[in-house]
Amino acid sequence: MSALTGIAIGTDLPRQTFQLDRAMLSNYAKASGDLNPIHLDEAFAKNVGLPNVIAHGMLTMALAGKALNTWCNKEFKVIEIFARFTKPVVVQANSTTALEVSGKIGEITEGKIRVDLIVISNEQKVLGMTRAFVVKA
Amino acid sequence: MVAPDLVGRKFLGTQTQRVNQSDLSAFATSIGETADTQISQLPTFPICFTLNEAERIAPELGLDWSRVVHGDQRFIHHRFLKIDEEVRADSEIEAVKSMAGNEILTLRSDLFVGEELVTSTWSTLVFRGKQ
Repeated sequence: MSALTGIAIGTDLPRQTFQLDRAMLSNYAKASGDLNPIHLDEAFAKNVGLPNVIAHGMLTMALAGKALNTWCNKEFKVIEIFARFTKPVVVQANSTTALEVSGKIGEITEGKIRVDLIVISNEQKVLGMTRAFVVKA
Repeated sequence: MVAPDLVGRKFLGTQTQRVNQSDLSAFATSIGETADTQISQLPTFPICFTLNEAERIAPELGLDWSRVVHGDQRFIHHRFLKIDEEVRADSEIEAVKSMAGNEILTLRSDLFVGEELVTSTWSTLVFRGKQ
């Protein structure tokens, strides 16, 4: 059953953790067509003043979408999603970076459920104002 | 600096892009979903049809795509795209501003199948100034 069935405003949704690594960045770059070298090339990223390669903001947002998809469990669908990219997610070579996605029900109007998401990596919010509206599928 | 009178300027999509199952599966598996995941379960998938439009438009505005950082992003799905549909992106500049040497552009891109509006997207793109 979907975590959203019969849910009330203010309810917390179970936190989900995703692991990002360089292979995921490379696969996402190819799949999305966003081949900006700050997501792929360590030397390039450092040269433009970043601490290291960073994940695509859109990859982080896609993982927030994945968390929503799990909560929806095919019984609900996401009809709107917004995110602000507030902090970069740095991904070191030969290691993984955890991304934690949790959610809370912000509002329910006429069958439309607003889910407010909190997306954290390295104890920092990496997405801001992240909101989605879901309805029955 | 980007001229403020660019607000309202429209860029109609010049060609359509096909929604391929193989592209959808590659997108799904890249984020750890299964290859058979449906478009309705991937709310950010349409970025594949809009970001390349933004990349095409930026140089026409004198903006350097190699200095872009994504500020925020919104998707509204009026319905979901379907496999084998031909999608066209019509874009419009909704806002421009200069801040601390950066040019900030809000670009709306509407995805159409024929005359039907399927998904509306908004991207705020920050073009970093050369310090």
